[in-house]
Amino acid sequence: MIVVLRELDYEQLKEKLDSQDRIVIWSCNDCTKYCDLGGRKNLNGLADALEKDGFNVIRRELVGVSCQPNLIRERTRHPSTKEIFDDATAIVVLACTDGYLKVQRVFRKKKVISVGVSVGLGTYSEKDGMRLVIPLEETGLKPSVKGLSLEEVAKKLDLKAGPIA
Amino acid sequence: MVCAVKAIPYEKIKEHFKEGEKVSIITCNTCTRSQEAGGAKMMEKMAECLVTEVGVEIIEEIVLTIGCNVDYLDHAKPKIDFDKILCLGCWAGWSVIKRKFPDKTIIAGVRTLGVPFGTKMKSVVAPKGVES
Repeated sequence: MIVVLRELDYEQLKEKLDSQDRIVIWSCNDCTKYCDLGGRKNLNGLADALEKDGFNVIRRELVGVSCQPNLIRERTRHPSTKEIFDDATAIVVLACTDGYLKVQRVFRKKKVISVGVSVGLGTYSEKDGMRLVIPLEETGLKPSVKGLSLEEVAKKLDLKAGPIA
Repeated sequence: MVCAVKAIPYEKIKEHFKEGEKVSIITCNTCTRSQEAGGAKMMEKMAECLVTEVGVEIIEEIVLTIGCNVDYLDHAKPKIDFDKILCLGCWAGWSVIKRKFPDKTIIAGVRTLGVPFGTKMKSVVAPKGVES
């Protein structure tokens, strides 16, 4: 699985949004969920927080995997989603970097905001959660069978781990 | 979900095995299957070749829905009386098996190329014990 941390905190995210924006919160339900950044719980957590702060969240969209362009394009065509995505002005993406870039490619004319950042490959267990075992070369981290917790990786790379709100 | 992988050629894989060795094969059914480096079909083909050409004894073949989930491997209750395991998963999947059997030889049958970033790909660091 892709290990996904985040660059933004909640206050930084709010600065990228406008009070007039019609916002879709978009979340991948695979790797990003296992990194406790995405998935239904965190999608709803972020949407609730933004609504409480007066932002106009028009859709909470959970996607099986955000790295499959066909699943993204389907939202622009399907009768149950086309209208609302046409109407949206901003999409906040809770996904890995690849998932974000693919959403951005489909919704070229909209403000697409990245929250997650991919740092390598990890292993998951209920007991230990997600652990980074195969880092990206650019991180300068070493691979290990035991791996590093998301908090350890975040500290080393000056990133953040876990839910944004 | 999808890390970029490439199958290591069978001719290279078979160099790691000897006649009479007890071998388990564990494959991932997600990233490696979708890139024709793993999955049930690939595993069966590999097992057939290793049995007929090398003479190993295949004691178990396991298909994990995703190879990088530790709980899935535990749930499969892999046999422990093997000499070597051939992993047809990415290096994260290999790490899961190696963590469970740290003193055993786990052969990586798949090379992990990197993580996709849109139309580009970023390389990852190979763990000790795999062919990079």
